[in-house]
Amino acid sequence: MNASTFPLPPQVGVGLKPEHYVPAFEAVSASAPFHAGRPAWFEVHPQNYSGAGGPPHRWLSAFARNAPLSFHSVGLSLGSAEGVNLEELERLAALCDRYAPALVSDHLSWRGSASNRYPDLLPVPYTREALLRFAQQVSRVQDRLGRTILVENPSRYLAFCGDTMDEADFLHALCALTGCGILLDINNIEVSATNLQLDAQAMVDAIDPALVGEVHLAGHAREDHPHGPLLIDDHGSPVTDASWRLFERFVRSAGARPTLIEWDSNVPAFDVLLAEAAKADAIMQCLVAVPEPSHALA
Amino acid sequence: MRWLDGGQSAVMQALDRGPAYLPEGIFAGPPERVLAGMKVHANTISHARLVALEETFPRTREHLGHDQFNAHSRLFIQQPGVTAAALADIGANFPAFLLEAGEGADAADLARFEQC
Repeated sequence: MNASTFPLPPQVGVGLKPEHYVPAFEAVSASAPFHAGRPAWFEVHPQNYSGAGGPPHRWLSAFARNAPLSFHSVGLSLGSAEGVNLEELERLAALCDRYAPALVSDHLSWRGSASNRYPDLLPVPYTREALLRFAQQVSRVQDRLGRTILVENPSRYLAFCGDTMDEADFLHALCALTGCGILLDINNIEVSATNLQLDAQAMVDAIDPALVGEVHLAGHAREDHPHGPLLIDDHGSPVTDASWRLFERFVRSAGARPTLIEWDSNVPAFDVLLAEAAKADAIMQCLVAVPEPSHALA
Repeated sequence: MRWLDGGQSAVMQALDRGPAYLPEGIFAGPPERVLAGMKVHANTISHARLVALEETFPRTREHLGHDQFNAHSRLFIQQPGVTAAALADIGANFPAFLLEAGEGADAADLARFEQC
């Protein structure tokens, strides 16, 4: 596997949204004064750059010259019985060749079949059968991209009857089989733990921090039902207090990691995103020594 | 039921046709909880497809009005073949669908223009 051109720094990044192109670019330009929460890197969904050119690519090229990028794919469908979506894989490979992102990731999930693509991240049972199939597909992606990827723990609303291992064991086995790493989504831990009545702290503690290459922080929606609360991973609000505490718990034991503030629906003003980033930054600064930001990479 | 040999397609059938098609023995927990979980996924899928159409055809939506556009969109995403496309391409046949649905050529032309 090739080393990426720009390693992702163990600092805070934000998801790059078209409505934030101007303020985000100003924030990372060489002349911008440093302020807490200034993103050290940006994450994009490569599926949003599936066209060949136009303004989105002009912006992304400009960002790529000023800050490291992380490509967070939602389209590979690694857990599909049919296997990975090859069209998406080729698109992703082309974008990786073009932008040399520091990290590439996708999800521990599946998205339907070639004849019926679901724009959602559906859960995978934690069984040996699913593990071996999933590992085969991760290896296929890594071979094509010529690099290792990170796989994100999912937000779960459903538990499978036939699970033979827990989520951490599944992810650790996947890493051992493929050499991939883990993208630890703290919000997904809170969502899954609440929905499936699991212990969120134990879920965080169970993850081997040495395998975690990136952390995600986001908000979620809540529905109250007679059968208990249902948390919905909509990335449409601030990070919850419970997720901040889980993040602190992880950082305390693992040290600083590249950490993303995700906000994909009801997207707020860029300053709101920066305030969340500053909060994450303060936690990492407080709990571990973080190196000075090095945003000028061009 | 093995997950890769039938389990996954059973879940797809339930997502497409409704919870009555979800076989027992796949998901754990009380039925009302399983139903709520399936509903989250079904809503996410439907919402993402409708939003993709809104984002692809903002002027057509303005031209038709939100309610009319939404009614067409909901019917359109149930047409055979539509959901085989990536989200970015899901509206490929939407202009032709608008014509077939009885909208004027102006709406279909506007949609075609927005596709480019």
